[in-house]
Amino acid sequence: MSIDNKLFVTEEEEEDRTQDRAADVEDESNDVDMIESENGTSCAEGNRQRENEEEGENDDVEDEEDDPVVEELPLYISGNDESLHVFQYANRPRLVGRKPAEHPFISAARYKPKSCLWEIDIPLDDQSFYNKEKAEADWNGVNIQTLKGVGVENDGQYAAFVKDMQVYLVPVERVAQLKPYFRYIDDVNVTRKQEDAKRNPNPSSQRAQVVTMSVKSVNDPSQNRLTGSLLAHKVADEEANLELTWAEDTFEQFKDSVVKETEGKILIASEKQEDYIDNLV
Amino acid sequence: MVDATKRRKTHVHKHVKDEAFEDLLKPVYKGKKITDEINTAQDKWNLLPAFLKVKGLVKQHLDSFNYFVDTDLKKIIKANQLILSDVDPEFYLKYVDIRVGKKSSSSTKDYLTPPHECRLRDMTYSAPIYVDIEYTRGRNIIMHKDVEIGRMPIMLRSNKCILFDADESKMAKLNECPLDPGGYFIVNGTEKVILVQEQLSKNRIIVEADEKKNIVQASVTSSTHERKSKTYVITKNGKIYLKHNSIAEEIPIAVVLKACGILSDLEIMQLVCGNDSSYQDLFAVNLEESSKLDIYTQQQALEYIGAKVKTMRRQKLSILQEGIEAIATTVIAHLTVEALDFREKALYIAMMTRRVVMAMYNPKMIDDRDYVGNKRLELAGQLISLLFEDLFKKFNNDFKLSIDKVLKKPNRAMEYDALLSINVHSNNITSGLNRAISTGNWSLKRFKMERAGVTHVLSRLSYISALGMMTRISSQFEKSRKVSGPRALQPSQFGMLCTADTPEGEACGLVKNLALMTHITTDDEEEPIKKLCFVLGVEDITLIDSASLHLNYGVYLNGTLIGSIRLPIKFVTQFRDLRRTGKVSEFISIYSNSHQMAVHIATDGGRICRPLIIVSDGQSLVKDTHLRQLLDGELDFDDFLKLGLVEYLDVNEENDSYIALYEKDVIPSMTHLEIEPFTILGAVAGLIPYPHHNQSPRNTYQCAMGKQAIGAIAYNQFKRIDTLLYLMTYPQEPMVKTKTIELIDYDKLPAGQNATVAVMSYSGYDIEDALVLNKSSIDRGFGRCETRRKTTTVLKRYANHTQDIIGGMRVDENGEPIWQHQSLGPDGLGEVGMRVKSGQIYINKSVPTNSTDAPNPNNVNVQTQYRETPVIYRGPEPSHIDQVMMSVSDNDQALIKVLLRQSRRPELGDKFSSRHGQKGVCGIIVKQEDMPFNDQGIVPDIIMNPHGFPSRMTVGKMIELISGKAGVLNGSLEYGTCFGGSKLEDMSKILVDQGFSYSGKDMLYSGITGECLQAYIFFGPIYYQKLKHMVLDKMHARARGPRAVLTRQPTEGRSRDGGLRLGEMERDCVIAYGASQLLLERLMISSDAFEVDVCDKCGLMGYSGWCTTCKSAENIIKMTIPYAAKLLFQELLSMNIAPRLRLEDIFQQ
Repeated sequence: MSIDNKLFVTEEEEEDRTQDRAADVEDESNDVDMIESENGTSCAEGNRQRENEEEGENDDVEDEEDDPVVEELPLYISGNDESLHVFQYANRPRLVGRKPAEHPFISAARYKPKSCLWEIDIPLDDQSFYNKEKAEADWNGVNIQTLKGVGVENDGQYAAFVKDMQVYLVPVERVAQLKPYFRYIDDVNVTRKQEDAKRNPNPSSQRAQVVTMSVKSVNDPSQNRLTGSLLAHKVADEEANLELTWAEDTFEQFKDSVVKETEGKILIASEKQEDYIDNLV
Repeated sequence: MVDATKRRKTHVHKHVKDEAFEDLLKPVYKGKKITDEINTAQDKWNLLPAFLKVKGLVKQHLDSFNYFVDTDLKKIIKANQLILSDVDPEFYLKYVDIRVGKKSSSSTKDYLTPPHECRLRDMTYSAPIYVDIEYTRGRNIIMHKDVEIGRMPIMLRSNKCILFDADESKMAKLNECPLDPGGYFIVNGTEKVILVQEQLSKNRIIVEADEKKNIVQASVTSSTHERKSKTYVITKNGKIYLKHNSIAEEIPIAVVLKACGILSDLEIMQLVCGNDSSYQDLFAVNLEESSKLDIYTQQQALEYIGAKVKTMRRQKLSILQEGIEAIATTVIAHLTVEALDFREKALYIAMMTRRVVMAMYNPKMIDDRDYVGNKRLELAGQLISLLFEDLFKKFNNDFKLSIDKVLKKPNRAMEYDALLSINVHSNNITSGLNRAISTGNWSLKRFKMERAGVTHVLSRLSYISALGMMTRISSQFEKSRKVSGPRALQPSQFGMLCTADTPEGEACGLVKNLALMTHITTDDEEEPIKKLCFVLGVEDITLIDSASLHLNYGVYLNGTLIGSIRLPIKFVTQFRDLRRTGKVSEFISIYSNSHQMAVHIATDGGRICRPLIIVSDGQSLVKDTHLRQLLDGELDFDDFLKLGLVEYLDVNEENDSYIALYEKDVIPSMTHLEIEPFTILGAVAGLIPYPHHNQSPRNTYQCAMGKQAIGAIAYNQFKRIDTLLYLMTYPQEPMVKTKTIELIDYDKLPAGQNATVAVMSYSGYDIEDALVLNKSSIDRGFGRCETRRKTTTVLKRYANHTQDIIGGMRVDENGEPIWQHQSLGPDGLGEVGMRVKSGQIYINKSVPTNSTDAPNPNNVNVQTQYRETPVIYRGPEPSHIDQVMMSVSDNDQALIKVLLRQSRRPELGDKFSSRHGQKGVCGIIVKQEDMPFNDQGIVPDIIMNPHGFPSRMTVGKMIELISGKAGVLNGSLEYGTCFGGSKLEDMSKILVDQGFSYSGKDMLYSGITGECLQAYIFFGPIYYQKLKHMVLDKMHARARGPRAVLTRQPTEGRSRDGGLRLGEMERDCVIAYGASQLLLERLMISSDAFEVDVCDKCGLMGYSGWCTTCKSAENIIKMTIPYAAKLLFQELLSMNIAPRLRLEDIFQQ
């Protein structure tokens, strides 16, 4: 479970279709509970249990003696339209002292749906470790920390919580590792460079040059298209941000909706265990 | 279960078909009957013939070629499937499918010209390559199937070959030898082998250290279909940098990681060092580097790198874009980032850095380049695949250009059909493949790579030399470099590469040979394995946070980190269980490395592996019941794999195992058991009886000589017309065989004879390993061989409709043919069976004198004039005409091949060798009457000098003699298999029972005096090989003869009837002795004496008594100098240096 070792994990609900809707965020204390309850199942096993529900615990049989089954819990799987994104806060310790660290306050959240690019702003604590003068002088008075991360697709990751001795699994759409993003440095660099260029212009650019004009046809073969990562960067640069509202304390509500949704649905394995294993390998 | 029985039935059926292995798999074999007890410890070797039946000796070539034709070709097509036009955006052409040698409509393979016909007619054995295409013509989309884009040379006995699965009778019908292993190509009539190439493994990190310079470097050679590049992470003054050929400067590692999006120093530290404080201390300096450069953001880092990129691009990119491109595609090119997230790349670079840091901390944590697990073997299939993709890309490019050319025209009368121009370029692929295979020059444009000497002509000197060539591995290391590392025998070669078979001299240790049970893997799909790993509990690397990356074992798939696992041992065991049950391909290897905290999974091709019996709980899983079923033909080798009794281990996984040599050695902690220890030797070394008793270099010498032995070549040897073929007239199966000999069918195509040898001194003509031969033995056919030499003539057609012709024979006044034409028939060709002497003609060809003239327009019956250009036989001994073939080659020109045969009996100076690296020349041939004989009147065929033994220490030869002698007396063939074979004790017992001395020594009587010899003589049969070096081919002398044009000195070499050189060292001797007149005679008078006219006045040379410089004949003096000296003076003159001769009289008048 090393994924969650030193991290917060926050599930956030986000609807792609109704994009203006507020995103809900759960309370982080709930959240930690949730992770711990999930601790028994590895992510991959979560995948297996989806299809194998009826067969149950057969792969743990050998370990039974030193690892007895204490409790059997029924599983529920939702997975209709919750678009669940997991944020991993890299560089942030899970524990502060003995206590789990608090989820920071988030002032703004931006998302680029095509490039799956998340950006969230956390206001800086200007009381401690903050040099106000320097910020004002050098960095245009920066007062927020921006975290940025690319949502990575995954196959078979589930978030789970336990309610009334029942396990509820919700598929995770994307996982993003959020890392600090110093936009203010890049911004200042750009302006500085422009100023530099103005102050001491390049001798070569000063010299008069003969300009040759040529007409470029629209579908000129020499005009290459960008491919691969360059294209992805270009798309990301050109894509407009989606401003989202950060909503807190929605975890209970979310839980309820999942419980409600999964109620009365019984999952039946569509294939036998052998078929399943054959499918896997 | 139903499935299993069905499978068994088919196997039984297969056994009926495959005669080659039938003997070995017969229930009665080696005196063992069906009812006999099965002893697992001894009979488990039966797995070996079963293995060779499935895999065969050249199976690695066939597998690789089959993989290429069936799988790789489709991948190449898929990667290059679209052709778009720059002119017309609507146009596209798409390759849908590709097939070799089979049309989509028919269910059977196309008819191919049989391989033997290709050999005889100088053609290429190839099959058409068909593609299915889909393209636009105007507005319509058109599908077209079975478009031929070229012809692919076909590897013999591959699944595209007509010999595939052919039984003995079909092979005979096609004039093929059923024992011929295949695995080679026939290009323009010559048999070509693509040697196995050894290379350092691709896409793997190799850490090396230079202790003197205090440098540690991790390097990775990235190889994809498009590009090949090498990335280094190196230390410099204790700091770590990334180095790449297309980046001008070394980039501090922290900057690289920042460019990959790992911005915080904390995370960099976590990725590289984990929690280990000693690594952190070593690495910390590197973090300063980036802040010194004022680099804090990803954009800054990318721009820093972008500014240093030095690739040439057609497209102008901004500095930032250059940086992105460099990180995404150039560095570590085999991980190409398509999207925004560079995390994978960052992790890879971080892992490289970690390995460097580890090696800095502990210098022992470096990799060994020479370790076989770090090597990959490149086989015919992979090499052709590289070549084909190059040619296919060029083909597509040319095709596209010609499409564009047509589409550019503004108003075309009709809609353009792209199919019409596809055939124009099809010759490119065909000729490109043919040229590469026939010359051996592999030039790959996209890698800018040129490789020479990839292919060799299949040596048909003997069956063994052909076989030895198929198992040969050539290394990429330079032969001239004086390094011992790559040449040394690596412990990891055990069981994979033959320990004895390597040439002596410059290629020693660089050219290796495969061992008997080696298999070389082909590429396997990565994706399903990755999925499986996640199912087995591996946590995906994209989800793991940097802090906990190094807490658990990392899981690496083909060198790339894909995740981490908490319980590595359980994971590895589970994975292996899946492999043993056949859920995962048996050639995928998995092993753990505790130093690197890593589990490595390899699915790539070119790994060397071999099968081993699985041991569990101290018990071999192969039981006698299984072996019984194997012998009864109910199971075959693949069933053993499927049942999980046997598995393939590659070199790396072997390190994870504890392997018992013999069943008696198995203890509970062991994991595997050898199938047979003698499989550490290859096919060629397997011929040696009792090699484990020999000094090891002797076995190596025999491996070289076994390939030169004259013997039977193939069952179709008399149907072949090769440039030069040596055949033994009466070859014999050796008295002392090995199991390898039976497995490779050497007993069916032997190269040698069992000679009765007396080890004693005789006549004094046996010093320095010379042998004394018995004249009567030679009369009876000992060592008799024949040579067959081919002459090819093409009757050319010329542009002016003239053509070469074959003239008839010329007769003298009596109507008898003139002497030169005596062996000719009325058709102007030698008559089969006629003897040709030196100077006689056997192809009476004439060429037209006016072949370069313009064609005659009137076409009046002008008699064409012909000039005779007969083919004249030259040789010290006459030959016989064996075969004459007239045919038509590929380009419709008449092709004549004449085969000349010469029968040779051993003579003084012919070279012989036993199978123990003991070579010797025939020193004297003695009449049988004069030779010693024993009580029974047996006279030796060969007398060998006993001095051959003490220094050579070939004890195996002595045991061979004893075993052979026991076999003769017992009427049995004995075994000298490595690490086994007939026991000396048993052999001595037989000797004693038959009334001979236990030691193999006999009492002999002198043939000359009839007296009993003073000592007992070691006397018995030893298998002797006649080697191809024969006096008749080498003898040479000259009194006068041709001279070189330039220097007027005698020509060089036997083939040019050259002189025998008095070299520099010989000259020194003569000078030291003071024999000046001898020197003058040797160096000038008998060589290139030349009379010049020297002008005494100007010192320059004139001619015919006239000095052109002084314009007078007054002071001309005639003198003799070497022509070479005169030439030197003139060459100096041409360089504006005037050498002037100042002449004086030595003797005053």
